[in-house]
Amino acid sequence: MDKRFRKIAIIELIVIIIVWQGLAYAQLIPSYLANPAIIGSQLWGLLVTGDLFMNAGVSLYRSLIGFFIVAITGVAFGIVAGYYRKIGAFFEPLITIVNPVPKIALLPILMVWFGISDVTRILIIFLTAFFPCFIATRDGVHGVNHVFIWAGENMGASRFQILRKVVFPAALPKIFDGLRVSLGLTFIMMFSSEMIGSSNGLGLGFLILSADVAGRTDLMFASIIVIALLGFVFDRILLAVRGRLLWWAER
Amino acid sequence: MLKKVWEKIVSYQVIIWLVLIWEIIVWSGVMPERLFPSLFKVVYVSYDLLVTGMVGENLSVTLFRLFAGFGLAALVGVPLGLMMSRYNLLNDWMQPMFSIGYPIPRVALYPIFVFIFGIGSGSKILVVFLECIFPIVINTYYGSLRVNHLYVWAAQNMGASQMQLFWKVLFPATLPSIFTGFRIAIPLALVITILTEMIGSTDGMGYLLSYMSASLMQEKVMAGVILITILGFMVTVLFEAVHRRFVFWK
Amino acid sequence: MGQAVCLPVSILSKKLKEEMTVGKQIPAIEIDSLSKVYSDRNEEVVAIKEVNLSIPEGKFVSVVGPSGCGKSTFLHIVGGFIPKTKGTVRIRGKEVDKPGPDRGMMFQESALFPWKTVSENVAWGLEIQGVPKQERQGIVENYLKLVHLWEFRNHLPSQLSGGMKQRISLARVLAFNPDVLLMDEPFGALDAQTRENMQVELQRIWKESQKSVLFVTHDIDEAVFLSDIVVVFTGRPAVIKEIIEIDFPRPRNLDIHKTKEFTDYRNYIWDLLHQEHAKPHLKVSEVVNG
Repeated sequence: MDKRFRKIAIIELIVIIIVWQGLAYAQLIPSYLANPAIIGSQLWGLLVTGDLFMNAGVSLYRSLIGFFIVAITGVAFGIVAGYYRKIGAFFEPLITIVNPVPKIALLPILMVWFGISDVTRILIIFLTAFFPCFIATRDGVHGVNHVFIWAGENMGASRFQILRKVVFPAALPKIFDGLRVSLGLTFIMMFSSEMIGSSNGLGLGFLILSADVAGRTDLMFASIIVIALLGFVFDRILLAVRGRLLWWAER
Repeated sequence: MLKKVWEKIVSYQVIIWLVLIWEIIVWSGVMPERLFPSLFKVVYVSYDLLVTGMVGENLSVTLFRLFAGFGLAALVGVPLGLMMSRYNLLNDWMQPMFSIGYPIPRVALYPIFVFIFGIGSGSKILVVFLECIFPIVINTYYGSLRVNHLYVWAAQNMGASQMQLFWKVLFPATLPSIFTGFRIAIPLALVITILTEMIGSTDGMGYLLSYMSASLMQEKVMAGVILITILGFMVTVLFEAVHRRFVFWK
Repeated sequence: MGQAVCLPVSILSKKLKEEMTVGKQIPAIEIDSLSKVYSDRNEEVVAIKEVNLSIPEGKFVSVVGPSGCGKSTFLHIVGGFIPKTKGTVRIRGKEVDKPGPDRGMMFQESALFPWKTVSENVAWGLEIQGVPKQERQGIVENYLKLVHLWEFRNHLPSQLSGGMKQRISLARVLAFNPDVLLMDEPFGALDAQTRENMQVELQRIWKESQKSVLFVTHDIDEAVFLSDIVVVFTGRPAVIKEIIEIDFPRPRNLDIHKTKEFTDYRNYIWDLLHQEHAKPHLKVSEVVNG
């Protein structure tokens, strides 16, 4: 995003906040919908009491563990399935069948097996985010221009060297596309796995849930803003890493 | 003939192996049957659920929410994406919103929507709409930017007006990218519909799943998952058919 | 530099000179001190500088020049697709600055719509201009038969070869009956053999349609074979270096490539393009002002 867009974005956010506040002040929106001033003070309160860090920390811990497992296994299996076609073909039917299943539907099954625990939540994050990463990596490896591989062979590279020094870097742009989708899904599942099937514990989803039960929309908005911020910040981090590694690829 | 069948079996062997391993675990009794039912029983139960009519009503509710949310997103997103690629002023104002909003889990707004619109279909359709419109707008926008400028020039050369340029050239030329957006949005719509129904609802497939899970009927839960999977498959098949019908030239 | 080839043809014939003189009769295309300047924040690049050219009705005129000299930009400005910095373009005396169906444009890459069949593509311009369906069908049939591709009317462009696509493009342009044809290296992406066949085809179709053509190419042979007049551009900025009349009887066949005259024309133009300081035999202003 260039500087001009950033400027416009900030202006737009400020306008939204002002309009919202103005409507609330003029009592044009129902009072049970909190206004920015109250939400701001709630956020501040969460910040000074440390509740924010506790809840966000626990949520982040689960989602980042899930995401790292996805990134490692998804890329590794994706490369193997893409490079060694026979292995890819062996698992292909499984991928075709499991990929379109809305993985969130598996949550009740996992809950029965592993209880309402972090294992269940990390597993559901993993199951959801794995497939985009795996498929993008596999397709990225398939899509590597054959001339690159021939050039590598021509210069005497071994099969493994070609994998490491030609195929992997050439597939990297695609891999990052997949990782970005996976990261987005990670945050969706972080929120959802905390919302479904439990009512106590730590985490931003629980915070929303308990605020909901208490009818506290201000607290709900505050938590949603934190979730949104986390999603945004980690996406930026991923894009920054991508920019570092892929300076040679056009954006 | 027999050889062809055998080849099919070989190519799908991973499924057979997995079913076999699953059934061995069931027979060996390592896991209690209540938690780990035989797959054959699950298939039987899903058939049972289907014919007893418990599914029909919930299925139609889920389908309605899914297509309403997705349809609205397509109806708004496609013209918006096309216009953003042609009118700089509109793009200047919309682009930052879409860049910022893209990585945010918009589903987190669901509890607020329930607060405002109640627990019925409205709040769910709104969340599905919000999740779907982003990939649709972004793919339409970039697809439209990449349309070969010669198509536009050729059309202008033949005297096409702005309106004709928009609907007779830009729209069909962008259609492949629009469908790329749809392909991302449709599974997302299904996930979000089921998800919101699981979080809080009184009907729909997601609700059914939560309900059966709460009453600890593992084989019924699994049957529900199978039915949802079939639903996902059918939606995908429908999508591919529509895709082939409209993007026949690729 | 090599020895310049001596040619009896380097000066325009009196008749043609008269035809190209402003005021005698309205030219099909008239370009008056056309300039194009690309301005960046801190620098200005002059792409085309003060080009004057007047093309009589029914003539086939080629523009040749080194690649990147701005000859395509020149044609795109005449077509109205990109804005000019200075000067005027007139088609049959009427000033133009936007694209319009009075100038039929053919591009190097096929610009056929991939989602329309061959006949729908050819009918497209007519449809836009509100020609009734009955009439459209007749015209489409006429032009598809002219380019010998009537059997392929229900195919999609993606099912055709490069040469066939360009023939369809030509039919599409002719179908909406423009005053002049503009061609931007239309055979540039074809293989050598197809290219030569297309040149013969184009000559035939041009003769039948009796349109004026402004044809841009970097291929000297193509220009000499097809044209009545070859305009030589030099690069950066594009200015007209010389205007040469090609005096071969029509119809020409591919055998003229072997004649001495053809080789002389080609060598002469080749020298012009490769000798930065070759002396123009005729100034642009002389042509325009008579």
